[in-house]
Amino acid sequence: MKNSLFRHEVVPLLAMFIFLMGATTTGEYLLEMFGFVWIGRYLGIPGTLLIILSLTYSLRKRKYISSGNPQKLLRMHELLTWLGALLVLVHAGSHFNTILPWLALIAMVVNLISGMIGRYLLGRSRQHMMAKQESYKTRGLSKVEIDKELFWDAVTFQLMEKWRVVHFPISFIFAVLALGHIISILMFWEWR
Amino acid sequence: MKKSIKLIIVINLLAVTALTILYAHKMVSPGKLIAGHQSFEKNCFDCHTLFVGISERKCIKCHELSKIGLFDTKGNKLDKKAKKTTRPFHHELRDGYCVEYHTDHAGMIVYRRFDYADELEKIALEEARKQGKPEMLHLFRQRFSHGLIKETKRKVCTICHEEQKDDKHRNFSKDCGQCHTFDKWKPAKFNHDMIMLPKRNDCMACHKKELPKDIVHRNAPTDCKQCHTFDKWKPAKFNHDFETFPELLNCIACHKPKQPRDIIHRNASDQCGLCHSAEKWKPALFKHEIDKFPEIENCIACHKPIEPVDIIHRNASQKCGQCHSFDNWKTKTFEHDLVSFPELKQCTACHKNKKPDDTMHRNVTQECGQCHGTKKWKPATYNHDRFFVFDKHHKRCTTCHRIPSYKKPDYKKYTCYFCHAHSKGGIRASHRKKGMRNINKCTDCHRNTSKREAKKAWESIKRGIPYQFPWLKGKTR
Repeated sequence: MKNSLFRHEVVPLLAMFIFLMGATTTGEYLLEMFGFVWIGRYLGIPGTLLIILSLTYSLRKRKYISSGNPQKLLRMHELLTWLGALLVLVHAGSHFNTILPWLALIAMVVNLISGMIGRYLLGRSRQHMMAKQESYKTRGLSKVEIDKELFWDAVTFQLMEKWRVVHFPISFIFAVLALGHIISILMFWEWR
Repeated sequence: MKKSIKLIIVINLLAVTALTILYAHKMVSPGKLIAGHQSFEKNCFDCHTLFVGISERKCIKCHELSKIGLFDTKGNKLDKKAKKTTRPFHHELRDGYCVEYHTDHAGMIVYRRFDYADELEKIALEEARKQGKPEMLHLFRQRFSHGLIKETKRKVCTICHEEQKDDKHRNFSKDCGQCHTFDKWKPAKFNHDMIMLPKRNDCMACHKKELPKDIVHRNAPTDCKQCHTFDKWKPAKFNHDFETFPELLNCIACHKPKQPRDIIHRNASDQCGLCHSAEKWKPALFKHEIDKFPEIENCIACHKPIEPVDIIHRNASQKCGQCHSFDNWKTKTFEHDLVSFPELKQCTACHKNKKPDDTMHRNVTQECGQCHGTKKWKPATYNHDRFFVFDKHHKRCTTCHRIPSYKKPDYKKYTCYFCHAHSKGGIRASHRKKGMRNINKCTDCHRNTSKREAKKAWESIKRGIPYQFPWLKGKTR
């Protein structure tokens, strides 16, 4: 049982994180090998934009926007944050020159790990909700509607609510630190 | 979220903001500044202007362009050892944009746009390695571009670079760019058309030091382009006519390494021109006369691979010249005397295909020499007088040779009966009356129309002595 739990729930999380680190190292190595290290300086911009784009899901969930399939948006949120984090990690590189960007980077990685844990908890919540599936069926809902209802139930499940209490402040800290880094760059950039 | 947590977060973020403002050099500065600038580290705005960048005016405040390379920032004159360049050049730079070429923050070096493949980067790496400071690579990575120099001054290279005073550069302007590039001194492209005639033909005016000291160039004219081109020294077209008489007679003096060591050239003289032309080694006109006696007597020593192995040459000696000429193999004078006796008796062994197929030759032996000479086929030396002397009655061949028929005579056979008698019995009877018995062939005694000679012949033959006809005396055939 323990083996099964480790294999089904812990290994995928670890694999995703290790894959991200591997992709970062490879990207950085390729840039250096082909003499394009200077490109890394600008990869922070698309990385940040991807992360901002991934927030569409957060807006949909908090009902600031009403259109869009929440399930698809969540998948997009996961993918875009992963890609954005990859670009930002390559942008940061393996050099350590100053503190603020590194604080932002650490916040981003913690945020990413928190997101991965959230993904795992969501799976667990959905399993709990499976019992409700039968009652939806008896009420005569279609399969698409049942899936949608189950998703919202899982998202609003108590376990998820507890996790969100942690995830949101981490995101907020990351956003503030990243903004500080961006502002400092804009201040000292060679604009001419 | 609890209010207390929110408060903690906000306090922390405010603390970070305060630290960023107070300790910007730790929080946002991309690495340490270079050694001379470390005193500015705590105040970013000593160099930076908010939302603008670095103003070169701030650089020039300390690094006055006219003093760079001559004085330090405190106005002290630099001694020779402290100078990084032999000729300072910053005072002639365009309105500078220093950060384009100089980097202060160590962390920014990795983002410089000149990549590692850049030749200058290689030079920097090499220099850093030479100095034993590979970790200080950024100090060697300064990039200079001539584009920084004011256009009017850019063509006066001698402002910064030392003027070249050698023969080659003596008469040229100070704009080195006419021949050299900004990046490299060599290779240079010099357009000789820039030199006015007749000076253009006097190469030695500039290239005297480069003139090779070898024997080939010892007596060469000053106009190198008679053999060489303006663009390249090699390949050159050498005109042997330039050489004075002694050199022209001693090819080996220049071409020694190229002299072949084979048997043909072993005893060859130094005058290659006796056989070869000055333009090309091949084709050569080989003159056998220049070879010494032992070689000339032994053709096979050189020509072995082309010695024929046919019947004619089977027993031939090594002296090919006995039959062939030096110039031409086919124009030959074959000496039959060279052939051994048995072969000489068998002409058709060699001349098989040349034997005529007419009736005259059909039954002849292989000894063509009985009639023909070894020098010429015609005229043949066949002596009919040995058998019968022609006269006014016997002048046509077919008068006697009409056997087996008049139209197809066999010249081995003849008959006298067609004119002189018509039966052998009658002839024998008439001879018997004169006391002549045991007669065989008419031509044994009758070799002409003279009855007197025939009688003399009979008298001699009768006694068993072959008669020597007077017209055959001294003749072998």
